[in-house]
Amino acid sequence: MKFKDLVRSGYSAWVNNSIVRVMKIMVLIMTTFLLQVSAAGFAQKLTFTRQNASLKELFTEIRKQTGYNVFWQEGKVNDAMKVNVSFKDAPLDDVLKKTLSGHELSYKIVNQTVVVTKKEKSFLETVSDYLASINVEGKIVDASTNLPIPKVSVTLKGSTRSVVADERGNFRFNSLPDEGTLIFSSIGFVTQEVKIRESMEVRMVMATQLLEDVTVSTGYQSVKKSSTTGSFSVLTAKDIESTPSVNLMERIEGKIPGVQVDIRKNTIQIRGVSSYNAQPPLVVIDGFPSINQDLTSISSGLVDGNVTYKNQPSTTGNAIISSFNPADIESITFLKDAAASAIWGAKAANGVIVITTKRGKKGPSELNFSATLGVSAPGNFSNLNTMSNEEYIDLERELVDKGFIQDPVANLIASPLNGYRTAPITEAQEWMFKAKRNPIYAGQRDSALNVLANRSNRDQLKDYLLQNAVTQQYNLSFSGGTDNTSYYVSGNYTKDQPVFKSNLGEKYSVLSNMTNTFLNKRITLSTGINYSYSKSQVNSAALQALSLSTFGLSPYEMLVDANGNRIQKGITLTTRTSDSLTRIKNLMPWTYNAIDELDYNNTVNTGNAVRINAALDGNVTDWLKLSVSGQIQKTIDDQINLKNENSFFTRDLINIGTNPLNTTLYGTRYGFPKGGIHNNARINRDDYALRGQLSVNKNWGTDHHFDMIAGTEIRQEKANGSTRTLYGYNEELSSSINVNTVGAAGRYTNIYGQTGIIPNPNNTISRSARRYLSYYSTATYAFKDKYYVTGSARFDDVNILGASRKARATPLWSAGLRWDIKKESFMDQLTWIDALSLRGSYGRSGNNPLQSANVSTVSVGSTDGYTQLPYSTIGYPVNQDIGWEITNMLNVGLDAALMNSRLNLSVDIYNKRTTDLLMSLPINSAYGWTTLSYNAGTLSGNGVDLNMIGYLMREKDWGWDANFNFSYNNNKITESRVIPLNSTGVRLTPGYSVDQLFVYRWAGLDNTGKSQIYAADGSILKSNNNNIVIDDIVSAGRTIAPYFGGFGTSVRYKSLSISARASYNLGHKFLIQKIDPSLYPTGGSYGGLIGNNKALVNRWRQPGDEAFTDIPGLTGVDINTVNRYMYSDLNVRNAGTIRLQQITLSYRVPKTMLKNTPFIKAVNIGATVSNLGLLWTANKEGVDPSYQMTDKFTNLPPTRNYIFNLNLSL
Amino acid sequence: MQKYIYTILICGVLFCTGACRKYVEIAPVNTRVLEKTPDYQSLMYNTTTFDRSYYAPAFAGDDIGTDDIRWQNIQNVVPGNLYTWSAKIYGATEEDTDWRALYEQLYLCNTIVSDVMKSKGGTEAQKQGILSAALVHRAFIYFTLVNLYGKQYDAATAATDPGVPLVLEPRFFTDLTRASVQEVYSQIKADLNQALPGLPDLPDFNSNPSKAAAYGIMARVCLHTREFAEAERNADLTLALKSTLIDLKTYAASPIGFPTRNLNPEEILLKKLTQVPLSFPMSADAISMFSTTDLRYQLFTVDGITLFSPTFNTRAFTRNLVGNEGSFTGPNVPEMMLIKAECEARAGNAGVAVGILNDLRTKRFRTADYVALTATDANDALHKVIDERKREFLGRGFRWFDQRRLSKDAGFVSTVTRSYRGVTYTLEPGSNKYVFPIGDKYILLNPEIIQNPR
Repeated sequence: MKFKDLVRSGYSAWVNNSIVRVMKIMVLIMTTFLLQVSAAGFAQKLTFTRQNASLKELFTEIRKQTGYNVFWQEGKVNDAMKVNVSFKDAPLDDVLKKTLSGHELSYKIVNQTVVVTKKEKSFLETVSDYLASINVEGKIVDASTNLPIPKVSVTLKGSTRSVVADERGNFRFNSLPDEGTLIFSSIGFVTQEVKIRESMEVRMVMATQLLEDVTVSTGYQSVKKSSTTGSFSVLTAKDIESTPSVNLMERIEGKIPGVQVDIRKNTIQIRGVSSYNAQPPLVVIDGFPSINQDLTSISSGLVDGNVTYKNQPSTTGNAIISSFNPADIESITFLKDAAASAIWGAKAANGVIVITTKRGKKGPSELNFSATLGVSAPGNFSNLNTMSNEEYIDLERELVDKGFIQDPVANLIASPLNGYRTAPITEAQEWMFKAKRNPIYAGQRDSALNVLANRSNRDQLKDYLLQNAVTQQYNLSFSGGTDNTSYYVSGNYTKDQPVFKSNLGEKYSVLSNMTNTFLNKRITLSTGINYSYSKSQVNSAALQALSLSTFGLSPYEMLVDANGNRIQKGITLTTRTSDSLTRIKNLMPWTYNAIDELDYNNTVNTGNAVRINAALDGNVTDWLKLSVSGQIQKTIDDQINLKNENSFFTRDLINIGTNPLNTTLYGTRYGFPKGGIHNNARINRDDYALRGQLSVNKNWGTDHHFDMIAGTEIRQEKANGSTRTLYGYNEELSSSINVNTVGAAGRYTNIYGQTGIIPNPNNTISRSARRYLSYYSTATYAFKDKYYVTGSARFDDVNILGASRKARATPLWSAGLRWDIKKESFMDQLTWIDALSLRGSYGRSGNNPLQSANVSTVSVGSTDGYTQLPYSTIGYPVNQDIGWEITNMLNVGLDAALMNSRLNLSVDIYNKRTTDLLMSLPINSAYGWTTLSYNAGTLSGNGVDLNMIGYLMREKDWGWDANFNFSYNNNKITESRVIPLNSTGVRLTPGYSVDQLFVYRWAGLDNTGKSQIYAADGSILKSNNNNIVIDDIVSAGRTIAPYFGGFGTSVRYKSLSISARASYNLGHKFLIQKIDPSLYPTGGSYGGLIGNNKALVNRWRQPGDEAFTDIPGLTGVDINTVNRYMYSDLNVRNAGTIRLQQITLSYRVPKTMLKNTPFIKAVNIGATVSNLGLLWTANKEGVDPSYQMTDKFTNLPPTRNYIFNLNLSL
Repeated sequence: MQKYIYTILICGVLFCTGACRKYVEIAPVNTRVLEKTPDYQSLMYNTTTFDRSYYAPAFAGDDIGTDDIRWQNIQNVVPGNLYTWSAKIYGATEEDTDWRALYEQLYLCNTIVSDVMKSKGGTEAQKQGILSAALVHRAFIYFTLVNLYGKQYDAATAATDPGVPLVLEPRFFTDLTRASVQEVYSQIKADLNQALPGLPDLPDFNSNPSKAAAYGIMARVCLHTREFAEAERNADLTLALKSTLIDLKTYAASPIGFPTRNLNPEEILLKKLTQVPLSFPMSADAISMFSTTDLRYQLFTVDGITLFSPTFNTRAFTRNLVGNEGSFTGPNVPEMMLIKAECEARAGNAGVAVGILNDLRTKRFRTADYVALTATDANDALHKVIDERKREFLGRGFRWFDQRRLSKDAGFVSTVTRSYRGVTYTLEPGSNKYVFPIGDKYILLNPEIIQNPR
């Protein structure tokens, strides 16, 4: 009898948990906030409220409260002048400014003394005042709609004088200087400066519509995009929010031209490859390289304690954890060309991704809460391209008939003593053998097979091993700022539950960013603390049950019987044998059920990450700034894999290790230690970086502007990892057994009569340390804000063992030009062009040869397992010829805004050339090494990035916009020392791209069911002929899409909007996989689920079949046959796809509806459907090239994901 | 206040700009420049590199094989090619396991030979010891290489028969033209002779070279060059230093307690098969060599049907699974005894030869089952020695080298016939197929290497 706890189950429990989570986040936020808030209490503060106070009284009060003396010029300053003051904890600076500014007085603070003087007009001011005083009238309209903009504030530049336009956009401003400039500002519009004329019509542009307005962050500085010469793309917080996925990579995919995101492989690439060892772009967080260079980590791989380990996903369906909380990101800037990225030097050859977290803005404090819930169902079994049960049983029959499978019963009869060890077989195979041994069972066999043919385990697999994938994200942040302090504090909880049961990922993070200014805003201190804790659990039981081989279930094999009891199956031995061994010989239970295993053999990863940064900026003069900044990052990743005593893995190991014939009834001696196996791996990383920087920002007159930074930086990356294994682990007691694995003590006889060895616990330590020293500078000179010249240079040095400085470090640089054409007078006539500029850049970046040195190096730190003597290996052989790999890149770009900025356009064309390509050059192993790090080639690449945004409709109630981006990228090996080998697949060949696919030319099967391919001369090569020369293999195209990008559109009606996004990849090829060696029955093991692709139904069976099939048969099959079939032009398909990523419906609750709850500023709700599948695919089979091998459940494309989100601002 | 902050800022900037190159001139942890004597020594202690010998002969020799389709069905391409003495063993882009493993060790040996005497922090004697050890390994490596890829030594043609590339320095991109078989053998002998003075009589561990090992390798080399007197002299020198045999009677009941590899008293220099197949079917000829009372048969072979996977109907050789430490191929005590016996038999001393065989066989049978061998004449004694070699060295590739070597003696090697997946293959004595082809990859990379004829 079962009881159900209503409170703790279902929906109510979920609510309960989320409240607790939100509370936890609150506590964390408060703690981190309070840690930093004390830093704000520096400035001199004054509290003083009085009507009609005299200045003298105020000055006395200042001295009393702040300890500052106040001096004033007797006679020139009227100390009896009355002022109304009301200050509470106001900074001294503010107090003086507010009280004195209206009275033509100025002040200076020198050595804790305030000196108050009468403001005197310069001679020039007096004269110009006299000469040029004009009155201005004007009208302000929206540039796109020509409708007047009400209540725009108009300020005279360089003064505090201002007026406000009326409701119809009209304004009047009297007695203005003739040569002056007016500043027009209004919320939602771009602030504009216009020279004074007597009658003015000012056209203001909506803030979101202008390319020019974007600020890009290089990590070293923030610059206006309009003054740059390089190729930058920015993803704003709004763009990131528009895709509410847990996976940050999905939020980027298809949005930035030139940036190729592969969700499946979890890789990101900027403008294709520029080296052979395709390095990912450098990821920078808040100005410093991130310790975590993956945007997203997927919890599938095993941490092995090796500090050089990098996580790569192997299957879909494991929990996803974003390394950075998407809700905290203010912007992501992609640095694509040399001028943009050269400032990062040696690390920038493959592009740079600069992430900036949110900081508070001056203004009232704001509280934001958002919650996102995403749900998707497991992949649909009916989409699997597999055999029917009948066809599958027929395949088994052929395997049985051809001797691929052993009959356990026959073996037992042949050798009663040893035959019991034959591996178990499936129900269908049992019937086949039974009828073989005695033909009278033929009839029973046929009816039994008929039953199996009509039975399917798919419902059970779905019910017991799979679940809906559910993701939850909660964010709570508050931010705000006063004149001297601003803050942004946030907390986040994310949970990702994949489709396979017993797998889970979750993450908590808090971020607190503060900015304080002191001393009349001359000093700025910015600090930030970020802490995150993540936890994920990996369990492979469900995955294995759905995969091929031993643990996979045949399509008719059930998990539970009609009464709901779990069916136990034999894996190592038949259930008949193992049950009796358990009963008679006291062995552990030796059967397997996937549902049981969901509780065991879990791998739990926990990660702690802390990031602390601080920057102190000081304005030495109004044009010179000094700053010191630094960042400390620390991560602790811990992985525990517990193979519990009750897990099948451990039971099997113990039972195999216990020879039942050598043991007495109750005296079983377990050869392998009884108990669980506890594996623990841990990696600690410590990074720090410190930077000193000088900034110059100076104008000479109105025409010349010079901007420069120069600095130096030191950085250290340190890591240490360790692994530990415990045997005989008891979970309840947390105890383990001391095991001697050395020599005879670690040896036992197993059931096969062989000697087993208890694996060495392998308690290893791994360490690494890397140091960098850099000098850098970048400068921009602008003439009349029309012509820009930029340049940058960097010198990087790194600790490489035994390398001279020349080999370690090399100067890298860039130079660029920009011409703002729109600002030329001849463009004034072309009113339909709102902005137009042309830019070009050239620069060089490079990679240093970290993998080799000019001397031989040895790696030490290991001892031999038998002799315990210390041994070493040669890390890198001496290599005098190794040097830097250099990439030169030329970029030309055009930015334009047309037709009242309704169409914004940006195009970049680039060309790059990498020389002295570093690669693992294959060499004759007679030299002692199979490959050698070597500068061995030249690679050229080129491409186009295009971005278009159109605002098709901009009415009050209606809006419609669309965007489109297109990228083309190509690369070609122009020169190579590599001798191309006659292999298929992707290989490096001069004249082709680095991702070129090479295949055989298929010539059909021969009359024995084996492969034939064409040689270059047209003759036919049989499968046993290994005499293949390079010309027998032909190019089939590139494997990476040369054309890619995305497009999206969104329609708004009042507060409701709907948007859709799609991405495309075109022009590349893939090999459609019907069978491959790992799936074809040649692997030697036929236990569990056998390769069951539908294509195998048409396999060759008898001479003559070759006329209508290309699928090799089982008879005498060899690896050559399967490989040549798989890698032949027969299976090459066009991989072009257009993928509909998402459709989003969102609604902003109108202000009018929030009238009764004035504390709520805004409410947004949204619903998104993502993973909508392919809109178009180029191959006729309709296969999705990213998710092929569709006979494997684990390879089914992700199903539709329904996401609901709520945003609340207080 | 302001002053302080500016001071901090300026100091900070100065500190950073002043950061000098020394900051980046620290050594990374756990790696260092190869220059110290102990580091050269520890390179030699890398047993997982130096214990590898060869792989191909284990599949090509006539002591293994079965027609059982279940075993043949699951063999990969390379074992299949080796089993059928195919004209090509490896695909054009594949590494040859043996070539690579041996030349990889050779690079280490050459590094030591070239540089150890210039190393820092060791005594002259230490350096000499390390150098000598490297020379012993180098001799073993070249002996193995030349017998895999070169023709059997024949004094008449050795000077012109192509051997293998003779790489004696750790340098890249040098000429790899194959040296003659004679040149390779001369180098082997020169290395062993140069090594001898610096070696200890016996090693601390059997994975490290010693005088016994140098003599043992020399005995094997001379047996192949048919310098039988010299072979016997070196076998005697070895046996004078090390002659302990494992008495299999001790383990007749259970192999538990069988000495682990480092404690195995019979092994003089530990070398093993580079890869050990899952299961090794014994050929009909090999099975017929054994009496069922032979403890080597009882302990080291099992019914093929009882194997986990794949099973087959004949007997399987499983010595490598006792202790699970591999099949040893280095010079060993029984080998020295059998070399001595062979040389005695060839010298006409049948009695002495059979006497040595019986010394060995008393350790291979239960006392009750032991029957002393006798020989009718010297030729019979020589046959008995060769048969004993078949038994003692079963499944370890020795037989392949004997098949090559004994083709020079009439009546010892016959044509081998194999059926593999329905096709019949034959191997005549002295056939070109007794020389393994050189991997296509190596010829593509270095066209100066010429291929062996088929």
